[in-house]
Amino acid sequence: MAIEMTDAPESLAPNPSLSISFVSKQFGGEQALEGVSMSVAPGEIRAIVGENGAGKSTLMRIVAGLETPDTGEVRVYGEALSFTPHASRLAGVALVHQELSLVPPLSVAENLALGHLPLRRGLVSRRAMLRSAREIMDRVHPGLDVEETVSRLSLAKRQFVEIAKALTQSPRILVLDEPTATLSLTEADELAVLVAGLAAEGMSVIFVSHRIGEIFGLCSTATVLKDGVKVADVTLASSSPDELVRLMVGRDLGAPLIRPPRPGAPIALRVRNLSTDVVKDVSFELREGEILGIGGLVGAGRTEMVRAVCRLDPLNHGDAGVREAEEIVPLRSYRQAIRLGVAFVPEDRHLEGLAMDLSVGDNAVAPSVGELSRFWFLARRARQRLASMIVKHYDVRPPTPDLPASKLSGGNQQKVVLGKWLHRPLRVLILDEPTRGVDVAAKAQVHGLLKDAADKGTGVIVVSSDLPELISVSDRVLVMRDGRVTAELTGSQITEETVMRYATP
Amino acid sequence: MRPHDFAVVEVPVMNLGPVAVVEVGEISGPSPWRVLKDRQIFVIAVIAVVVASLAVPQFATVGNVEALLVSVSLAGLAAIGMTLVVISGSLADLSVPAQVALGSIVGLMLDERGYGFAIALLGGVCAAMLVGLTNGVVIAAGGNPILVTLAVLTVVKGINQGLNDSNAVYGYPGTLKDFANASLGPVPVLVVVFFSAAVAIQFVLRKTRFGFNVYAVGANRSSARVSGLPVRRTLIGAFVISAALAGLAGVLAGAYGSQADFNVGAGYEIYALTAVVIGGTSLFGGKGDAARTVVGVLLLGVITNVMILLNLPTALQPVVTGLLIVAVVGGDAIARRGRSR
Repeated sequence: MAIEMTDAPESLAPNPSLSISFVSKQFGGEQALEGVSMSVAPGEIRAIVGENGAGKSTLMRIVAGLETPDTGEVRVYGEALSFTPHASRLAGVALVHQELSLVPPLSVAENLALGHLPLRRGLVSRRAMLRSAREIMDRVHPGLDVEETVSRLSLAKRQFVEIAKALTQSPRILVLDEPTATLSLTEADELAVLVAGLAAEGMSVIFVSHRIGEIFGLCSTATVLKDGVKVADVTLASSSPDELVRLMVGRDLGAPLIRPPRPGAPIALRVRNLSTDVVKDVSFELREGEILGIGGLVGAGRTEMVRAVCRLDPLNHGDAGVREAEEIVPLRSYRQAIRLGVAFVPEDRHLEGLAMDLSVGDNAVAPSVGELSRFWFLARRARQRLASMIVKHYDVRPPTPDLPASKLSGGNQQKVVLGKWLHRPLRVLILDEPTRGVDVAAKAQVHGLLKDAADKGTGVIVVSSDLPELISVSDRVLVMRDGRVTAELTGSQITEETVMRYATP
Repeated sequence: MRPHDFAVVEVPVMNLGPVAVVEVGEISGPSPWRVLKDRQIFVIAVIAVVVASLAVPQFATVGNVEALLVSVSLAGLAAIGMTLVVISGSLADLSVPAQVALGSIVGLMLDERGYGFAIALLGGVCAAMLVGLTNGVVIAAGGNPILVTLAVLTVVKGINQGLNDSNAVYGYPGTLKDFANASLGPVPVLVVVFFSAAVAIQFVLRKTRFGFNVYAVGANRSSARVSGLPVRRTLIGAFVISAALAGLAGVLAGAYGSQADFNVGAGYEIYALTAVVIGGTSLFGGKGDAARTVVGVLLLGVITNVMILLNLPTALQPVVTGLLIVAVVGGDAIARRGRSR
């Protein structure tokens, strides 16, 4: 048995770099953390896993001094923290956030030097700044031009700059919160090498992650949290992904659904020679009831392609059409596409998916206000009914339509985004990274919803960087690279290896 | 929940009848304390009125209350319109003073030429709405609201000066002036118009599709667009309605004072914005309503009125109004930061 149920963290590591003892924290009436203890040894790479709302981020925010626990203490190399960001930084804790903290209009070097600009006779020394930026970037992500403006970098590259920025503080404990969410496989491997190198020098690295698979390649140990309580410390060498998931969720998730093939179903969507500034000459057909996966690296033009298909973003050439009755009707505007039964679930919930200040109910009914209105007037009862129906059927927790959307966890927010479209009669459903930042249980629910939609005859397009997800969900996969479709995979051709082969040059 | 026992019940949107079984009673409302905290401006306003009545003997007289209400009702109209613009996430319409002046000049010019009450009123309002349409179209296309409305302010100011060679327009003694100076029973018409406009806008915001869209666009323009809401049309609508109310205020101001020129409505933009902000409508958009603005307008009126009754120097009034904005906006920002920590 690889699990040690222990309340005495000292038993794990005799001279821990980080030791957390009996930390509890309440938010409002909710117990976010309850008596959590753990310790990390110098040079250890530790994963913190758990569902959304399990308390992972709260625990790490406490370590970084962004929150103060109600009870308990945190020691770094024996020194108790006083829970201010400044104190934690001085103690050697660096936290790389999920939300990126770089200043986009500045260059990489300027971002890395922010807060401690090298001065020469009272003036900024550009040369010294560039030199130290190159030194640190060579180590973190060789080949990146430090004079490049951050806004021009891909999300993945920004993530590396973010890590480099944390390293400029020479931390003794590096906390990475969901660092691989935007990385391709090769970039994730690169990160693994970097982290292993840092750990070999004695730095403790803590990984907060939803992706069970990658944890096994990266980390040596894992701490599992569930509902604010530590469930177990696990030595990964003698554990398995299934065991971790069971500990996180408290039950098995069940086997993925196998969908019977639907040969000869009518075409739901036809895309011909579609081109935008990024996308080059993409053509494909999507059949009713089919789930079409779009694979490729971040920046391959997948998002741009699907956004142009539903006419949310402009296109330069080609067209996309939806079948209505026996005819293919070309899409001329995004709002017309919605009227024809097209729905688009964007990649970023905060930017485009939800209005966080509005209530869950208002977000849920937004696409349907037309149907809920007689002339100019919105039917109040029907609106409330629809809102509570969506919240119930899509298992949004808590099931309170009046709550601001910002108060929900990521997974539950995503259920609202899906529910606001899925209750409508849909011909084509397009999803861009539908489970980014969503926990394991909610992820399975989201996949179930997609399959239900497809079973009812909706053609579904899923853009995903999460290869296991792409493979388990899709009936067929298009792989993109540099704006073009490089491969169409069906049946047994759909494997992580083939997708990556066509995705990388 | 396992994925395979996650059944989604097909509910056609067009036919909402069958889903009526879902009990709505489960929705737990916000706690009474929260309600009170959200409505603190209403409490403050009541306290201000009580204090004023106790401290200043002349305050709680019929004559004074009537004078107070009349004095705030015109700028109050502009404030009601500004509420829509602010909720739609467009910060502010700084061209309001020019819209008011244009409304007054066009209204009284038409009146002077004998077109009669209805045409004069409509003409003034429509002229202002054209200005609002210009604002709305450019801002919906992505223009910065502050810069666009400031530029439009300059242009329309010039037009206003040119309209009658910078001379004042006096209108014609007749229906329009009688209307603006009349009373409905004990209540002056201006006050009736102000409160009616507030009720109408409150209804539009809370009960219509357009109102829903104004909140949705104000809370997050991108998510409103992805949800398929008509973002551009909503922004244009907010600016046009705001301008209509400013134009109405202009015609009435001209008729009430028997004089229209390019200075009518000066300072209305800052007054309106103050009332909106004091009422608690968020400058970030997506929150607030017309009822809050009414309270903001009344509170501002009470403060000014008490200062007049106490014979405090007139120069002090703008200072107090300005400080009030700084206090409310600053306090709001500090409260926000406290919450996000």
